[in-house]
Parts: sequence; C-alpha cells; structure tokens
Amino acid sequence: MSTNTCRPELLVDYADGELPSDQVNLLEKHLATCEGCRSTLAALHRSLELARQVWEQNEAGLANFAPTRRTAGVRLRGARIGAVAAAMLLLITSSLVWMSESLPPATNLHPAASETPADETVVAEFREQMERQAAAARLLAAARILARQPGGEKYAQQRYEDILSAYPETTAAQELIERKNRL
Amino acid sequence: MSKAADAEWTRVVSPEEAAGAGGCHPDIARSFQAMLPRLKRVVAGMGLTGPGGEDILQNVFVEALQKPPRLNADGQLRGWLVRVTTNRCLLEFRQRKRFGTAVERMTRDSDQSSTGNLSGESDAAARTEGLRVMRDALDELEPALLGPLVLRYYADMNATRIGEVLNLRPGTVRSRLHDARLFLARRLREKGIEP
Repeated sequence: MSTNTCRPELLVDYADGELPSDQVNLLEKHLATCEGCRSTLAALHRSLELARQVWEQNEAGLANFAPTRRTAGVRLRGARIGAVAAAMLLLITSSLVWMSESLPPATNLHPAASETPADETVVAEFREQMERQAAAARLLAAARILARQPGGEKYAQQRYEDILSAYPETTAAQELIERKNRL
Repeated sequence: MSKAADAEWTRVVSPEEAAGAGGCHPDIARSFQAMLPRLKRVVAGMGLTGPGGEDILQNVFVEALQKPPRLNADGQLRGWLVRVTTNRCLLEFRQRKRFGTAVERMTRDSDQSSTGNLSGESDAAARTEGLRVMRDALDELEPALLGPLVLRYYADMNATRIGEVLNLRPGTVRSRLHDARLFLARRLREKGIEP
C-alpha cells in the first residue's frame, strides 16, 4: 500500500481493529497527512455508534416477546373476526332500537300477527334509505374531488345535478340545495 | 465473534425454559429460546420493532415447530433459525422500502423527541438529529448490505458464519460490510453530523 493513496475499505478494517499489522503503520502514516481519510475514519466510528443506538431502541420494543404456538396471522384473523362481530352487533342493535321507535301503533295491538312482516318491511326500508344516503354521499364526495381538478368543474356540476334528480331526499342533496340558495 | 456470543450457539436450555416456549418439540423450543436474544437483535437491526417485529419472531417459531428442518446437529438448527429470521426480515424490509416509511419515521421522531433524557437541550437536539439521520440511512441501505451489517455488528457473527447463513462467500460478506459501513459514514458526513 502506498502512503499517498486513499483506500477507504482499509479504513473499515482499521476502525474494526482487523487490519493486518503490516498495513497498520502504512495506513497511520497516510492518515497523518490525509484530512479526508481522518474525517472518514471518524465518521465510521460515529456511524456505527449511532447505528447501535438505533438498533438498541428497536430491540427495546421486543423486550416482552415470548413465543407461543399460534401464528401471528391467526392473531390478526381473530382481531378481524372480532371487529366484524362488533360491527354486526352494533348494526343489529341500532336497527332494533330504530324499529322499536318507528313501528306503527297497530303492531302493538296484534304483535303476534303483524310483527314479522312489519319488521321485514321496516328493515327493507331502512336498508334502502341507508343505501341511497350512502350512494348520494359517495357521488357528492367524487364530485367535489372532480371540481378541484383542472377543468373538472363542468363534470362536477353534472354530478351535482344527478344527485339532486336521483336522490332528492338525501342529506347530500339538501346540502347542495342550501349551497345553491346561499350563492 | 466473542466467546459469549459463540457460547449462545451451544447454550443448554432447561426443560422448563423450553416448555415455556410452546410445550412441544423440546429440541426446537430449546434452540429457539437459546437463540432468542440473537434473533431479537437480527429483527431489531433490520428496523423491525414492536408488534411487527414480534410477529416475525412468532412466525419463525411456528414455522420451526410445524415444518422442522431436517438437520443433523443443534448448531445447524440454530443457524437455520438465524437464516429464516434474517430472510423474513429482509422480505419485510423490502416491502417497507417499497411502500415508503414516511409515516413511521414521523412517529418514531416524535417518540424520540418525547423520550430524550439528555441534560442540555442542544445536545439532545444534536443527538436526536444524529439518530434520525442514521435511521434514514439504515432505511436507505440496500437489503444486500443491511443483512451482513446487522449480523456482523449487532448479532456479533463473523464473516464465515454470516456467509453460511446468507449463502455468501466470506469475501463477498467482507466486501458488503465495507460498502455498508462506508455508505453510513458518507451519509453522516453529507448531513453534517459531527463525529
């Protein structure tokens, strides 16, 4: 090795204390005259020190791990099933509450005879209203995104009109009407 | 590789300790428990921590139980565990790299700034900045360089052992280690982090 030549890979071995002894003297002579290599050597030490700190921080996040016989995927599936079950429970509960408040008085007089068909009708109506509200809201959201694009205002306007004609009873349509009145 | 690290490969785990790690396949459970500190270092070194890192370790353990490798010696089984863990981590690392880690970085940065315990505020800021730059540099590192770097400098394995695990020649391992170290040092200098 020449003392005039920069050999960065030797700096790594030197920093790690793994450079053969016959090359150490030559490298140290080179370091005495080369500012760039001295700086690289310092950065090699510092970067490893920082990397170890990063790794230690990461490792602290694994401190409580203990293996079990279940795969991580099973745990995830379990959580998903739980979330779906909770959502279904919420939907059923809210439907029942809604139905109990909106059933016509006649059903209370003859519950055994009329409860099932009335429930079905109410649930079907509820579902349809939900779907229409959701469709109108989606259209409105899409139209607003379109309106922000260059030249998109024209297409957005068409979507607004679609909402007003196809879903006049929805919250989205009412919002559009109020906006029109304000302008 | 230090003597303490080398002893990990041959450490005998008590039946109670092994039973705590699954309750069956005692040899595999025993090897896994013996290697767990090193496997955690592999996972942490690849940038995986918390539930994501735990999932990797858990799945390696289950894979070892369900599809035990046909190996003759316990040392080979331990090498297999390191190899499977490393490969799973690198796969995850590549996927993260592909989808970007900006949000994660922001979260980590806020965690770091809220948990700093240095005395001077400027020291703390400089140190946090250094760690942030290093995290970014490690994220940017090619997976082919990150694997050997972590195994060498955090899992305390020598080039020969790393070569066995990653199926590389020791010379290739050394060359990648040089590249990885110089990349990190260069990033530090570019970002103006004082040594």
